[in-house]
Amino acid sequence: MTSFLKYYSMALTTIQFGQCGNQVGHEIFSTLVKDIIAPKPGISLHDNDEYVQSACSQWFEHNDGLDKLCARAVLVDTENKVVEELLRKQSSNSQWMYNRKSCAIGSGGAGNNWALGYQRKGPELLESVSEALRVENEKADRLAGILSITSSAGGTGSGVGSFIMENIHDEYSKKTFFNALVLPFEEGEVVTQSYNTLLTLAKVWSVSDATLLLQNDHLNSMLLNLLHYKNVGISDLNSIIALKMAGSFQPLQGTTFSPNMTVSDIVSHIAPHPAYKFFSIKSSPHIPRESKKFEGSSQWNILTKHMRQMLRMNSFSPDSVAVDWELKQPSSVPPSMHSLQQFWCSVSNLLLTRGPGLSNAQCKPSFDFLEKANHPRWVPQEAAFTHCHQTRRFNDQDKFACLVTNNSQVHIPLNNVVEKAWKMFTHKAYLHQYTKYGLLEEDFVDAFVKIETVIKAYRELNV
Amino acid sequence: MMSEFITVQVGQCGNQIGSAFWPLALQEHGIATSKPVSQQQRSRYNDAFHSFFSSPSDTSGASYKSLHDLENAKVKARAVLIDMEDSVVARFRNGPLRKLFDETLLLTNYPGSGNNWAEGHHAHGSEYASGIVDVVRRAAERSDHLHGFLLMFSVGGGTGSGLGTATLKLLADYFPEVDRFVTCVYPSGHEDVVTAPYNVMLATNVLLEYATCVLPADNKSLLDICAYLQNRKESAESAKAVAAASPYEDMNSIIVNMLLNFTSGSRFPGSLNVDMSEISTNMVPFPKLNFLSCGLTPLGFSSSHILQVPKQVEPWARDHQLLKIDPLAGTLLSATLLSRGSVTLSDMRYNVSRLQARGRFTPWNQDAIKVGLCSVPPNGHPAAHLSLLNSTSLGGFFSHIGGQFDRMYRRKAHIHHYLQIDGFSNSEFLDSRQSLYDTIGHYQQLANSQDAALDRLQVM
Repeated sequence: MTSFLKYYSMALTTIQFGQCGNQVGHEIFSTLVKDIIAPKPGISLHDNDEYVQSACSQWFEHNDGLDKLCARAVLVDTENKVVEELLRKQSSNSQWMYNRKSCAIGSGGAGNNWALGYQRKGPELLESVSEALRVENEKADRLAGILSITSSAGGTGSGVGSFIMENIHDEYSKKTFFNALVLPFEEGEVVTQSYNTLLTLAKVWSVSDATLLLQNDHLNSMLLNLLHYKNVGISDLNSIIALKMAGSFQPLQGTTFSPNMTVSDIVSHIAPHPAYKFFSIKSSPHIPRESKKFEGSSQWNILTKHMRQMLRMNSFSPDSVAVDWELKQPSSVPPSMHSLQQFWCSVSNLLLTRGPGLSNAQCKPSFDFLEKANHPRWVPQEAAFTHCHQTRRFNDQDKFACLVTNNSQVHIPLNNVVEKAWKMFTHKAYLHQYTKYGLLEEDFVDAFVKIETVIKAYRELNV
Repeated sequence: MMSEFITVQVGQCGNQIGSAFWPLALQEHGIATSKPVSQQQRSRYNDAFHSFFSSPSDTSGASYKSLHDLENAKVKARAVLIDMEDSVVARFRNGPLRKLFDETLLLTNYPGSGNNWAEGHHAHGSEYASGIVDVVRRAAERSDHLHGFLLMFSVGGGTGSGLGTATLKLLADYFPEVDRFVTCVYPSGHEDVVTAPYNVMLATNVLLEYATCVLPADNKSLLDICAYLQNRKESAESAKAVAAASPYEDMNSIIVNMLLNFTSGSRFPGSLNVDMSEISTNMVPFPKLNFLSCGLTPLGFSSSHILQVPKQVEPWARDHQLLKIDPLAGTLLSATLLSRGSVTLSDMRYNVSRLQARGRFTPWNQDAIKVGLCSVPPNGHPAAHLSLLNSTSLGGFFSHIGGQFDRMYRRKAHIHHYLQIDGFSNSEFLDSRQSLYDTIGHYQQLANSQDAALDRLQVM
């Protein structure tokens, strides 16, 4: 395998914050490994080796002595239960592991309180996180960037995550610095989730190059409607996140019809303007386990058209998502074209397709995606849409497509958060819990201003 | 590295709750006391053992199967026992769990408080303050990650009510960073303590001021729950499950089950952990609104007989509350649902939406629900659910306390017993009363609060 050293790609170090971040991170690495060792890559041995080398060096440490892959990850939490559980699970895993030394664990939890996490627990953990991160990064020949994974609902991921990201980002200002943020169920997971989410959004907006927003409600709907789950567990939600992220950030390849892109390229492509830094990932197909073997694989052009439909909005009331195409299976029946059909205005879209049998002649996704009205005028056409491809089968599926998209739809979840947080704030509810750790009312106002500005910018894209 | 808790049991009632607490806590960790423990695989959760117990040698809890093992390893309960009279604490000293309690953490043999809050709070409170702090500090020194105090006492009498709340103040002074959860028992009104209305009012006011969260129970609710359990078929089993003969034992077990469920998220792993420190952030929207109505499903006790728990549960229902109020009749300021055992996220989402449909949430936080999933079920059940509700119905509960107080104070009945205590003066009655009525007013205001018409910030 050493002969393929030339294919070593850039390394990405992941920081997993809090219960959610750690569980999601674990799921992502598991998915990556499953993909890496998949028995039927559908491409030549040589090409597969190249893919495997590239994926391994991006996500895992290079170590000669061990027969296990070791994740380039730093695990951060304010209590040890979750990380202990993960490490315990890992000890019996024969394919990959975490580096036990790359854990920074506090105690006592962050009490679902952003202020406690940001003002107290974050500073307590900063040194050990920086040190663990430094050790991880030194193991990389070339570091591409840092990926932080956190949820916004609680106190650790949101507060500690915000503090650490804010304090290390200068050190890595020349690297790609992006994060995945899991937004809580809107019906409630944590009573103070709107405050925590608002404060987190405002911080990550300032420090990261781009932020992937993941909505638990939406992931839950995918599992219920698309995969026909009767019972959804947290790990099921996480498995969808892992598929979306692995499907987007595993190595791509240059082809006659599409450029190659690294993770850094993707991040800088998807957030080309400092006012628009939130993106999401749509993916398809997600096929129920029981019907997998009966499912005839659809055509590439059907799949890419389907991906395009995911940018559709309900033209009659722009603020509601009446038809969500990500909750449907791709179908050869063409969607009824309505004259009032409208699409979310996108700052940038990236279509990533994975699987054999795609050629330029067969489908021209850029045809579908590049309608002028769907992009603000200031975005040059060649930057508005990019199609990238990898011929290797992903996740043991013949075809898998991810649409990495930065579009105006994101104003809806952001608006819901601000709406709820503002109501609580005007009643001064729960403020004493935050001010007791030194956060000021002005800090809340600053966060409101920042996110209201973002919402306005996104909302006005479609006007 | 698990969160650690120290129980502080004050007075007769507090120590009776304690005597129900420890056998059940041991059972949760797979250690048989008097009856067989249902065979569940608990060895994975050895760490959790240290939440309630300390051992000088850091043997993992795995090796402990019986009281004998605990004795050999010199394992001690993280418990501070305080009582004026010796009787209840003496039972610990002579009972089967005697080796579990550290003699140096017992404070006893003092004269009683004569059902007088002022005597317990001011006279004994100041006399034994340094002794109490010493004992608690000794217990705290044996913990690495002290997370919270669980205080247990009744508020009707003199010792628990008076000295218990004095202890609470001391903890707030000396351990300001450690959460103080109080579970206290309110009298039903039929007890023979004439001065209970005074004691209740004075104690309640300290609780509002100094506790992180209060998990109250009242004797009437507990009696009704016991009666309900007795009328069910499987209750014969349930009733037998609690060994001792005292009628209070059953009632105390209900409180203990609540406490074990309440702390489960801090002790055991789960897919949605709830640490104790999260409870007050989620549940207390304004200072002093720290009383939470607790509801349990199933209500039955731990026993060898496994009770089925339906997917559709209503721990928030009126007859499942440890306090005689109907929380859903008022406006809900916040809610927490903690589920243990075989409960999936979908079950949880289902219950959340049912609570959303049933309850009337405050207009400024329609989604004020905190959820927790702990993977370890309680002993004897496949699953259990605990709801904590901060409802404006609690205002009615406080009004009742104020009314009872006023009725007696108007006649100045018995007040001379209080006024003769050094450190207590009539103004304390009046100030406490005023403060209680302010809180009642706050609840009323929140019950009627309208959606804010304040516009969101406009950005240019």
